[in-house]
Amino acid sequence: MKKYLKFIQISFNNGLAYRVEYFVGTFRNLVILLVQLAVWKALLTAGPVTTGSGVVTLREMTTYVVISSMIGTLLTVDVIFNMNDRIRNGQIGMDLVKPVNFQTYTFCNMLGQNMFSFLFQLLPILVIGVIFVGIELPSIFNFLLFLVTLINAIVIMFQMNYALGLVAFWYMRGWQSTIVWILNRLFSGRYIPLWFFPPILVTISYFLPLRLMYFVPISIYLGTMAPLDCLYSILQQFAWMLVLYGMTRLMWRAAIKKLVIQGG
Amino acid sequence: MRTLRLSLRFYEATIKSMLEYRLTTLIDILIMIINFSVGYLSTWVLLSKFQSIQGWTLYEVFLLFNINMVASGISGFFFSEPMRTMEQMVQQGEFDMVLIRPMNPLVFTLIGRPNFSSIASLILGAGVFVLCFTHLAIHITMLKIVFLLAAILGAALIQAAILVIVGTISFWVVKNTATLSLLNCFNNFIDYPISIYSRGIQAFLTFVLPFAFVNFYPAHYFLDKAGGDLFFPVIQYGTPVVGIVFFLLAYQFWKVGVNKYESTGS
Repeated sequence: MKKYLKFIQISFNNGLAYRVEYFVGTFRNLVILLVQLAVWKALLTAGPVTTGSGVVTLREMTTYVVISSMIGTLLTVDVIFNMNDRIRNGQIGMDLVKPVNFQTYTFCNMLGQNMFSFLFQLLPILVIGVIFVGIELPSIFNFLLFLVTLINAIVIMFQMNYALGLVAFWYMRGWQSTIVWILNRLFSGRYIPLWFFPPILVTISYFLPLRLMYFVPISIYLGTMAPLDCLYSILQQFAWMLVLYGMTRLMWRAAIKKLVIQGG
Repeated sequence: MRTLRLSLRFYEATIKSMLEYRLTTLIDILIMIINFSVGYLSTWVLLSKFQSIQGWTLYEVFLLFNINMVASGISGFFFSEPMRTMEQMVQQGEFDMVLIRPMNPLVFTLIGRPNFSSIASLILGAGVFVLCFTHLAIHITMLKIVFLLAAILGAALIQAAILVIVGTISFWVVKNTATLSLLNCFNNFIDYPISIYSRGIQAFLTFVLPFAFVNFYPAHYFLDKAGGDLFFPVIQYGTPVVGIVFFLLAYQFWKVGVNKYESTGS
C-alpha cells in the first residue's frame, strides 16, 4: 500500500515538470468553456426550451457546461498515451520487473496526475464558474450522489483507457485514444446534454459507458434525474466496472504472453 | 519549375511509403473523416432542436464549418507535418540539412513531408459544399463562386501562417508543443458564427489573430447576411488580402528565426 502511495506522489510531482503544458491546458479549457457559454447563451436567450425530459433554462445549461468542463479535466486519455509509449519503447520491461501490479501501478499514476489536474485545472474553472459565471449549487444529497458517480466515472474511464492501452501489445499505432476522444465528444454529453438528442442517438449512447461519465453525474448534480434513474445509473456504472475488469484481466493474460522486449 | 519537379518526386516517395502501410493510412483517413463527421453531427443535433443560432441556420453553420475544414486541409497538407516536427529538427540539428540545400529553406522544409491524409477533408468538404448549396436558398453567381475559392485560399494562408509561427518559435523555445495547442485552441471560436461572442473577442479574432477571416467574414458575404454587426462592412471581402498579408508577416518572422538558428553541432 505504501509503495502505491509513493507512486501517486511521484506522479503528482511529475506534473510540475509539465507545468507549461498544464497552464496551456487550463487556458484551452477556459477558451472552450467560453465558446460553450456563448453558444448556449445565444441558443437560450429567447427563453427556456422544452425537451422530452423537462424544461431547460439558460442558468441550468450554464451550470451544465461549467461542471462538464471541470469533469473533463479529470477524464483524460493520457493513460493510453502513457501505455503506448511504454510498450513501444520497451520501458514496460522495467515496469514488469517491479514487484507491483501493473494495472494498480498505472492507476496510481493516473491518480497522481488527476490530483495535479484538480489543483491546477479544475479549481481555476470552479473559481471562475462560481464568481464570474454564477452556477447553481446542488442539495447536499445530490452533491454526495454526484461525487459517487464522478468517482465511478473516473474508475470506468481508467479501465476503458487501460483496455485500449493494452491493444498496443498487438497493434502499435496509437489511434485508440483518438477514437475515445471523438466518441466522447458526442455520446458522453460532454458538450450537448442527451436531452437534446434525437431518439436514435440516445439509443446508441445506452450501449456505451460514456454517458455514465458526464451526462449522468451532471444530471444528478442538477437534480434533473429521477431518483430511480439515479439508482439505475449507478448500478450500470458498477456493471461496466465489472465487465471492464474481467476484460482487462483476460487481455493482460494474453498480452503478457505475446510481449517481446527488444534490446536492453 | 524545378521546385515543382522536386515536390512531385517527394510526393511519389511519400505515397509509396503510405502504400507500404496501407491499413495504417486507411485508418488515419477514416479517423479524420469520423472526427469531422462527429463535428457536423453535433451541429445537426443542436440546430435541429433550436433551428438557428444568432440567425444562422443549420446549412449556414455547415458552410461556415466547411470553409474552415477545407482551408485547414489545404494548409495541413503542406504545413502540418513540417511545422509540428520543427522542434525536433532544431533540437537534433537536422535543420542543418535544410540550410545546405540550394533552395529556399521554407520551401524545402515544406515539400519534404506532405500530409496526404488531409486530402480526406477536401473530399468530405466538397461533399458538404454540394449539400449546402442544394439546401441553401441563396442566389449563387459566378462572382460568388470565384470569391469563395479565393477566400478558401486566403483562409488556408491564414491557417498556414499560424503553423509557420508555431514552427518558427521552435528556434527559440526548445519544447514547443504547448505553443501549437495554445494557438490552435483559438480555432474553437470559429466553429460558430463569431457574432455570438462579446465585442472584445470579435475584435481580437479580427485584428489580433485573424481567425474570423478564415470563415466568418467570407461566409457572411457569401450568404448575403444582413450586416449590422461588422466592424466595417468592407472586411467581409477581406480574406484573400488578409491571408496574403498575414502569411507574409509569418514568413518574415520565419526568416528571423532561421537567422537565429545555431546548429546543435553533433
